[in-house]
Amino acid sequence: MKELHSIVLQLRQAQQDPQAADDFIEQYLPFIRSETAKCTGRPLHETEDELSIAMFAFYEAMMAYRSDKGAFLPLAAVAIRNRLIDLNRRNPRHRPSLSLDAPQGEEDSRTLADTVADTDDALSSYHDRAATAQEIEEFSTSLAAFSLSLTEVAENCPQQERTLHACMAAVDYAKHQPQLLEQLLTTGKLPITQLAQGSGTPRKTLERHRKYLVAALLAYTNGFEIIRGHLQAVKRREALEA
Amino acid sequence: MTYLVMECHYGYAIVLDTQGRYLKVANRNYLVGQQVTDVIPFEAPKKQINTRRWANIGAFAACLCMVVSLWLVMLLPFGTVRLQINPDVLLTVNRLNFVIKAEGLNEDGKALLQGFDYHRMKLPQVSDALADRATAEGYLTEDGVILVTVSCRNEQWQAETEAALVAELRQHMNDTVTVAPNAESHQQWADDDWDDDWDGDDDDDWDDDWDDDDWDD
Repeated sequence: MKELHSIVLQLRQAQQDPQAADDFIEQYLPFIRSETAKCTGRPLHETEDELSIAMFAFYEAMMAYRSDKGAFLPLAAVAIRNRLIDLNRRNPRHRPSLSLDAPQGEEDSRTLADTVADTDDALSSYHDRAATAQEIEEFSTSLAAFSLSLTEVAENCPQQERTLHACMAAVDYAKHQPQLLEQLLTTGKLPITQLAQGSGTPRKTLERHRKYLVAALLAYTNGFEIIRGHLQAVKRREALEA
Repeated sequence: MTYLVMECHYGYAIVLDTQGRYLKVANRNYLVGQQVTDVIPFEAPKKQINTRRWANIGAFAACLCMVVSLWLVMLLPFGTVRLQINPDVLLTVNRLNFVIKAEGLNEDGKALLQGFDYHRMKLPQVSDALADRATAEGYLTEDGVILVTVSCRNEQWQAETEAALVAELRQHMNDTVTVAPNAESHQQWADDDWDDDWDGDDDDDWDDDWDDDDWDD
C-alpha cells in the first residue's frame, strides 16, 4: 500500500515535470522491457524500435493516469501492448523485401549493396546534424531565459489548423516588424497588443498560446538560420511549384 | 512532412514540423538535429468527465422534476365543482380528483363546511358527505334540489365529472332529492365581464377578468 502510494506521488510529479518523467521511465525500464518482451516473444536490444515505442506508450499512460481509476502498472501494460499491436499493423512482417546482402546471381559474387550507389555523404550529414544540434541547444538556452522549455512549448502549441494559422499570422506580422522582435528580446515580454492589432488575430487566442508564440518569434530573431530554414522549406517549395 | 528533432527524452521527443508546430512524438532512437519523416504523435489524455458531479446534477434535476410534477398533479387546481343545495359550496379539485379546497359561497355554505375535513378525500366522497351533512343539519329535505355545476377548461373532463357526480349523488340519496346539473352554468366561460376582442361578443375560452372565480356573480 505504501509502495503504491509512492508510485502515485511519483506519477503526479512526473505529470508536471519532464525530468521527473524521465527519471520515472528509467526506474521502470525493466518493467517496460519485460512487457515488451511478452508482446514480441523475444528479448530486446536497447535500440530496438519496439522498446522505443513501449517507452512512449508508458509515457502516454503516465500522462493519462488518474489515481481514482485504479492501479498504474496494469494501465501501462495495456498501453504498451496496444501501441505494439499498432506498430505491428504499421509494419507488416510478411511484406516482400529484398536483402542487400543477398548475392546477385550464381556466378556473380557481388551483393546488391555492392551495386547500389551510396548517395549519402555521411561526413557532411554528420556535420550538418552537429550544427543543427548546436543551434537547437542555443535555441533551448534562449527559451530558458523566458523560463520556458521545449516540452512546455509543445504542450502549448495550437492543435487546430485554424488556431495555428491565426498564430502564424501574428508571427508573419512580427517578422516584418523587427522592433517587435527586438522588444521581445530586451523586455522578455510578448508584445501581445501590437501583435493582435497588427495581425488582426484575437488577443485571447494569442494569450492562450503565449508560450508557443514566444518560441515561434524567437526562431525569427538572429542566430537561428537552420530552424528558420526548416520552417520556410515548405513555403519555398510552394513558391517554386507556383 | 519533414520533422526536425528538437529535444529527446526517454519517453518522447519534441519535433518541429515545417508548418511551425512543436509536437510530442515517440522517440524512435532519434538524435537532436536529425530530420525525420515518419513520426508517431503523442495522444493527449482525453478529458475526464467528472461522473460523480454529473450524477449529483442529474439526481438534483430528477428531484426537481418530481417536485414540479407533484405540484402540478397534487396542488394545482384542475377544475371546480359548485354544489347549490341552499348552502352554496365551491369545491376545487386537482388532476387526480382530490378536493384541495372547499369554500362556502354564502353564510349557510360557510356554516356547512364548519369543522368539515375534506383532506385526502376524492370528489364523490366529499359531495356525498356534504349532502349527508346538509340533510343532518336540516338544509336538505325530501324533494329538495342539489344543483351541480362543474367548471374546467377541459370540456371532456367537465362533462364526465358532472355526469358521474350527478349519478353518484342520486344513488347516494336514493333518489329522495332532485340532483341536476346547473344548465345556466355552461355559459360561465363566455359570460364573463370582458369583451376582450372588442367585437361585441366574447366567444373565446379565456378567463380574461383574472379573478379567482369565473361566476358571473
